[in-house]
Amino acid sequence: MSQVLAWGFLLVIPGLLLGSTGAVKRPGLASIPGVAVLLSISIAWLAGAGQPATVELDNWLPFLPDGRFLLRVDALSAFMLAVLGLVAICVYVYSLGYMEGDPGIRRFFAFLDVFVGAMALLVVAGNLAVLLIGWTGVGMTSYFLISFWREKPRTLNAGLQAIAANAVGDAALILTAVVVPSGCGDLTTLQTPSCTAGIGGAALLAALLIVAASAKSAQGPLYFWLPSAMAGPTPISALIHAATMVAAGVYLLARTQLVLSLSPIALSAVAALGVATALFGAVMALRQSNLKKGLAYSTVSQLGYMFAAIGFSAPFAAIFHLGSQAMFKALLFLSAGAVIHALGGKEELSDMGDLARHMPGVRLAFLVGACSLFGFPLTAGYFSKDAIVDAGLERFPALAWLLVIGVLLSGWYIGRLFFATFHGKASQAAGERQLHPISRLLTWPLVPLAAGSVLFGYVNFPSGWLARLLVPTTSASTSQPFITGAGVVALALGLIGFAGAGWWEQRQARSVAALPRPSWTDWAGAASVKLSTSVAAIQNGRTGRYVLATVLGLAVILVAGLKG
Amino acid sequence: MAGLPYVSIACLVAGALLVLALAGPLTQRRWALAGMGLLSAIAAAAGARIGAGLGGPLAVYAICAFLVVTLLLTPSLELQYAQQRPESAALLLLAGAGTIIMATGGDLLQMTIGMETLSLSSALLVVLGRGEAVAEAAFKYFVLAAVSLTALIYGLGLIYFSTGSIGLPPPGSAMSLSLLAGIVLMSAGFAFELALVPLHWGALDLYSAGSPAAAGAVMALSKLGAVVALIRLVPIAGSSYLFVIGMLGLLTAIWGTLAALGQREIRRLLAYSAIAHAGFLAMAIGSGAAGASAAVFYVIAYGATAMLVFAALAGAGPDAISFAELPAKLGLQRSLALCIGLMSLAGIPPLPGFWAKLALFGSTWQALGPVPTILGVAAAVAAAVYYLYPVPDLWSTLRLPGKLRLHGNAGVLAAGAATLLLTIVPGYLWALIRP
Repeated sequence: MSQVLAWGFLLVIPGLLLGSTGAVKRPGLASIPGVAVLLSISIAWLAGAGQPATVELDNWLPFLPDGRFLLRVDALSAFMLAVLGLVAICVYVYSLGYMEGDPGIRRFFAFLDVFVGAMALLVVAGNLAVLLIGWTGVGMTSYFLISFWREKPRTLNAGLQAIAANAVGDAALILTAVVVPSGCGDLTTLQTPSCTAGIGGAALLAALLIVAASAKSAQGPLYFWLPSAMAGPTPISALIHAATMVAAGVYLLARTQLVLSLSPIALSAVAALGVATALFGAVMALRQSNLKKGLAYSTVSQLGYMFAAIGFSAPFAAIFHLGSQAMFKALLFLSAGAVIHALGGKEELSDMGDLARHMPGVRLAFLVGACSLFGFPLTAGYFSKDAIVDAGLERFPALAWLLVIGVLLSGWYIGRLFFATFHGKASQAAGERQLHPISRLLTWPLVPLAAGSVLFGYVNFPSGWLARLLVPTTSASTSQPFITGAGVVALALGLIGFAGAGWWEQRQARSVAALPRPSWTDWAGAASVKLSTSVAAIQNGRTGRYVLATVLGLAVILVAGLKG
Repeated sequence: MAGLPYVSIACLVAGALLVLALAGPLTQRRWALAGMGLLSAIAAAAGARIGAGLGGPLAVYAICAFLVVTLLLTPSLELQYAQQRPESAALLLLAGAGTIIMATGGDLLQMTIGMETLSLSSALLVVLGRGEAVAEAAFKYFVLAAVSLTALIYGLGLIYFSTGSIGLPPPGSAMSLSLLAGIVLMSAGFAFELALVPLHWGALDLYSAGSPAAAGAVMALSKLGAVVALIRLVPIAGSSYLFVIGMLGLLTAIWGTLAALGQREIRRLLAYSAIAHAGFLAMAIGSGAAGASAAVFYVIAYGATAMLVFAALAGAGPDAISFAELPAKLGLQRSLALCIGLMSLAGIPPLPGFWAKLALFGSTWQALGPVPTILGVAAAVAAAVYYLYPVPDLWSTLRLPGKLRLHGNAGVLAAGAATLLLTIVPGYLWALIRP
């Protein structure tokens, strides 16, 4: 069974072939069985049927320090596969309805298949070489899917931002793969003395891994691409830009936690980066006038919590929160997608309001997701966020209290999005607002995700089952306290924030729409094009200049060669 | 150092002469023409038993493989005058022969003659193409090739003056100033063929003006010949000159990448990309013994991918093509082939271009140091932005499924097969380079 799970990334291929060649009439339908098999095998593995295993092919890339083709199935990868499988199935079903009638629907599902395959490969990768394939693969499909509606303005631009940010992370990971001493590259043995003996030592490895993870998980200065990525279709935002791909950075750091723990500075840096991003993302989420962008900044903020957990030396808490976030954020995005679908593609909060009457089911789903997000008692988010704060109180109490304050902001921004969408006064155009009917395909997938958002915490409470399962890979403490002091404060702050947002939305006539400002990413893009054209302008076509430049070039090479 | 692979060279030259002799009847029979060329290229590969440099006859095999792909494209070669089709096939075979001589020549004079055969055939091959820019581009290339030939001959003279022989100086020879200057000048002459900044001016225009099939062949052949020649020559001058070549490579990679970022026309973009790749190759060459294998690996992987890209573009017409027009001009299969080729050039795993970059940066980290490697990796990943820029345009009009068409796509299929092979078993090529 472990072998099957290791090769699980190939399960998407039948669906990909059947779907993209048109052998199956309804695109996407053929892909679901493969993902379902992946999900059931990984759950069976977790439930005790499987043993850790590796697949190893020698001499695959002989020019690398570790050129084996190495796959490894253990509890952590099986857990990630289960999360991927669950969210992916919901998103496939949802997309059957959401993308219906889109002329590019076959292409959409083909990309989705490739993404699921690449993500499955990423989490079973045993060494850096295999990891790189999955890592770059998910980044690339993410770009294609962000730019999916090419004809819409700014989608290509948003995709290129994602490519640019991802490139930073890819560069860091490529460097990691080539600079480690010969024989190193296995993700579980990077911390051994022989592997940290190269130039820069453990600190360099840790720094490269942190840069790679930050780019993928939109942390710190590399956050900018994730809000722009909302230009893609909403199911993609749920699967790729909330639940799975952006969590890959957290996964990588949890996997290589032992390398980070060799360098105390690296740990503190990750903790500080995570806390700063968590607060920054929460503040930015409060300022958004676009529903999806608000949720995107919320993802940035939640990923910051997970980074903080890594920095607190609590990788289990990070992975636990990764699981809860996957549930509630996918739920929030898919509910938001249902709203957007009903409004015919409108995403601005100013076009929403007073939708509770029209779509009570979707409202309930969104509310469940929101409650889990700010840690309403006994929901998934409550347990996993507490685990992070607890770990922080032991290590960096000041940072942990900042995270507790962040919960107030979380409650406030998600409350603001909730009330502005479903309550409050409808926009002026609401009189002639035509709501599209929502197909069942869009509502049914909300049910398992809502259940997950509420119940996921009980995989670890009170038994500590998940922690015990992940212990071999993440060295976690197995006890899960029901309630702690900081937890009570966090809970109170979250409730205050949520309720405060409701009160504020009632008072305000409408959410004030933030003015669109030219962002620095546009400026940077324009500047790089300008630099590029000025370099290209040197080549102006004049033969005389070419000859002169060639002769001068020869002289320069001659001088450099003789001097050097 | 083994001698020239005479059998292979003879097969190619004989093929060229035969094609020219039968030019009349072959003008109308495009596939017979391609078939004759293919026969001589395959015979040349089969006859390759010996060869200098890394991997013995590997360079000859690779050159013949590039020829095969391009010959499969001759039926769709865009020419100013259709009756010159046999001439272009003959020039292609001669360019291949020149590349073999340049790469495997037993002494420096043979290598020089090989390079001149290659660059003259390249310029003529391009000038037969359709379009207004070809004559101008080929003329500039010709003039600049003459300048670089001066450097080459002058360097040859200096080496002869120092050692009394036109053979490659043995490794570890005592470096007199004149010998060092000779090696530097000769390697600069070869670097012109590689299109290293600041000697890239002519090559850039040639690549972007030529018809895609011709440009692809010129690009792949000249890079391969130059890489093998430089690997044999540069290390003799010692580690400090290796470092200079490595730094020139870094400069070239950054230059090409920067200039390509703003290009919105596919052929100019690919021409600048060829400059950037020349830079990465020179970085590998500058990394000494470890880098040499990486350079050969890189140039073969790059050649296969570039052939795929240009095969996909072949027949798309001589005018500038914007990204949005590409799918309509190319059709389904060629659009897909172009996507895969661009992704490989961008270094997206698991395509050969990515393996080549992994092989490259491991050696530069050891030899050139961390800072050049980090800058090189930055240039390599930044390139993904411009390579992937046209891809959503290519996808967005694709309507799957399409009918598989064999006719007219033989070159695409051959290059695609080579790319696929390198994707799946990169270790096999590495084993050939480093037995």
